[in-house]
Amino acid sequence: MKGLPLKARKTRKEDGFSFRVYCVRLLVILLLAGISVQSVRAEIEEARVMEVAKGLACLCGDCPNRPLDECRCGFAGQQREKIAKGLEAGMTKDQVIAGFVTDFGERIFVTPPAEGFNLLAWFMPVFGILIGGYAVKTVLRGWSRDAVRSAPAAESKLSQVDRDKLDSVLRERDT
Amino acid sequence: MALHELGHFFLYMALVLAVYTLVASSISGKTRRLDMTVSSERAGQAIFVMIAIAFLVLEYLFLNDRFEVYYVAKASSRDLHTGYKMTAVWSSMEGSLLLWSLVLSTYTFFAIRKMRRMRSPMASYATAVLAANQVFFLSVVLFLENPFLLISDVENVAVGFVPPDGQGMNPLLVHPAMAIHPPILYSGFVGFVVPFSFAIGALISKHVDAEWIRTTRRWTLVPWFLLAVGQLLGGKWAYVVLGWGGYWGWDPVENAALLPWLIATAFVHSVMIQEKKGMLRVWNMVLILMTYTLCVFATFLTRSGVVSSVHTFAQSPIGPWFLNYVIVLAGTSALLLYLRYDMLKSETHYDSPISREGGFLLNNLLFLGAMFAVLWGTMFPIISEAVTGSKITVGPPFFNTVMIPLGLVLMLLTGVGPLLAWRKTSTASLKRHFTLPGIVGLVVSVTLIVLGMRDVYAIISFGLCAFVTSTIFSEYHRGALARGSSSGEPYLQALWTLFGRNQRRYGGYIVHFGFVLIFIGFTGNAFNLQTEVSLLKGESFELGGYRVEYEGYSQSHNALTDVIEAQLGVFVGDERLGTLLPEQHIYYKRPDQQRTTEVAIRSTLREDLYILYEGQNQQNQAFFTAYVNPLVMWVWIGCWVMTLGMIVVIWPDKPVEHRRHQVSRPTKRAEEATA
Repeated sequence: MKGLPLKARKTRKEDGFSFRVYCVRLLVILLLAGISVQSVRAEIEEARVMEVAKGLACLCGDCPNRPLDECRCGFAGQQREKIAKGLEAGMTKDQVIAGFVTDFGERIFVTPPAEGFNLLAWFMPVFGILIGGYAVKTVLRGWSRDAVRSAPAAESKLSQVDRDKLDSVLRERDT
Repeated sequence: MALHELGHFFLYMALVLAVYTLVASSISGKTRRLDMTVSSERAGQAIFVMIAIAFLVLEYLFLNDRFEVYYVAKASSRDLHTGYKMTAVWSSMEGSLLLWSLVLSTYTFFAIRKMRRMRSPMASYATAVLAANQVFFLSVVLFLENPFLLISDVENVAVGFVPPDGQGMNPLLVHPAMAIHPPILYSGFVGFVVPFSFAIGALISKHVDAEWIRTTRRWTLVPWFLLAVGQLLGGKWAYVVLGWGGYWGWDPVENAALLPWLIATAFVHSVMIQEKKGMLRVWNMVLILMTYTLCVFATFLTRSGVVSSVHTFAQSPIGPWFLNYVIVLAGTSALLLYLRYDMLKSETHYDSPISREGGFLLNNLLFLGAMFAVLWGTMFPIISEAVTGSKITVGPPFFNTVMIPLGLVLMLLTGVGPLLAWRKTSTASLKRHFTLPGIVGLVVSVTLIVLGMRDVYAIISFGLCAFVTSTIFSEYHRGALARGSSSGEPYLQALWTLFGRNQRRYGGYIVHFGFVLIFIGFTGNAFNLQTEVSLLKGESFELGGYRVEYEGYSQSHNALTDVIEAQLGVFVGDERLGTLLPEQHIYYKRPDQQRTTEVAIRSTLREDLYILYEGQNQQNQAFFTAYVNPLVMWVWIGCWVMTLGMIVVIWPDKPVEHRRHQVSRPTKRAEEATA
């Protein structure tokens, strides 16, 4: 084959249809497709497991309540396997989670569920800052009133340009 | 007298002296009798000597393997390295409380020496408060967690029984960071007792003018800084020892240390308003009283077992004592504030919310909001259990959701705040100061988006870090130019002189820059990668552009542990970058055969390749967990930069005459501008 001209080689390929070669090629293609499908399916499965795991906490006692999808301890690994088995068995995400709640109670959730009393966990920090913001606003308003009352004539001695200059010099000196 | 009896003796002496100091300094504050003042000062300083001797006795007992002492047998062993025998003293409850007392007495010693110059009623009452704190801690040490008890005092064994060896220190604590983390953290916690005492002293003596603020400034900055460094060291320890790939897990004990630090940070900012404008006098009192109360509350959380944590000490009866102590501190503070409220009212000099005052108020709001969010999240499992009967987990995602937006706003304020003028900032001034930094921040954010970054928080965070960095550098530049034009100094010399002229301001900028770097490190968390693999010799895995090949393992044996060390070749493409050697240590002498992991980390400015060796099976298949953690090194670099900034801030001021000479020209210019 080495000595044959290129054209001749091509002709020989076209002429000599080899069923065996065709089958091997087909087999390889199917195998690759199968592996690829398997791998994609595994990735999808893992993504589904991790989606459930990220909302649940590792309760081994040695990890600081990390989500099950991040924690690498033995307990977390077992729980991820449990999720995978549940999903493989055809359970929905909610059914798997409900199983965990039955086993461990509500503390299995890595964050407080946003319902009932636990809503307070989420609302209180926002509420606290809003209250604080209102307090700051009140204080500033009070300061403005006091400043006007105590020093009405202190204004307007300097032009804005001069005040800016003065500010920059004072900033040089203060902290 | 046996050595452990000597330890007892000196602790009792310290307690007697503390009680005497409390009584004598209270009388001195009331009557102004000089003999009482001097006597209480001497007694207060002698407490330090007594506790220091007791502490040295305990160190001696540890170094000489005196296992007849229960605490030594519990926390040490013959084969522990000498250095770790010394640090084992504070590795468990009894010794750590003694260390707490020692740190408290050290602060008391130096505070009294400082106050001797004043000899005011405020100083006397402050000494009384320091002594009262010492009475509490010494009582806890002596009556609840005594490190000098013999085994026969605690367990049902014959008098004179000496075990052949101790149980040994918890292997997780055998690490250099853990050796220095507790003393530094305690120095932060305990240090706030001094400003607390000054504040209470000022309230009792009715001297609530500027004196106590002036006196306490450095006494606040030092513990604030030590608490920050203590927490970062704790993070470093968690990162390299606990092996979960991170340095901060929003664990209740970590949160407990963060609470007083957040309030103290609000204080170190808002105290400037009081110093410069005489405003916020009540508020600053509230903040500093709250800071120390939260320090004690944090100790209660850590040592009572009320919250479950990976860091808590063993169960102990001291919880109720600390809770009562917190109630006493909070109650006394509230009562005194109520009684002196009228005296604390201040004059107001204020024009606009767009001013330094407005910036500080917003800063305080955010720090207090952050403190409340952390406190609420930490305590919610207990609250929820009390109300609904079912315990709830509040894990890291909760804190990240709440704290990341707050952190970003605080970062913005770090850039904006220092450039605002007192009373009112004009629009022209805002434009002049923020146009360039704003553009820099925006350019960085847009560039990151163009380069493919899609994490919104990370984009905002990097943009803000660039914004703050450029405000800091433009301030140095502007300061050096102004200095150069007024004094004729060359640019670099003018830049250097700035630090001498206004250490607090320019040192403060360095501290801010340190926090920017730490924030950059935190932001890297958004891009962490991790994988778990099992490999046979010669096999490899890929993560974040690295190829890691398992090249085999070796075993060794020493007096404490069996060590299994895996050898991993690290490659990028075909280039070999080096070898990582993660280890597993098996403490074969311990009854539980405890295993610890020694993480192998390849650190660069860009990222850490962090590999944990989990062991191997009988088919010689080795198990690894690997992480690529971007930008972690910037957290530690930021810590060093912050340290440098704090050294500049607390460096002793130059003599007044010299300073007066130096500031004469700008002052003159200010006068001219005013005219």
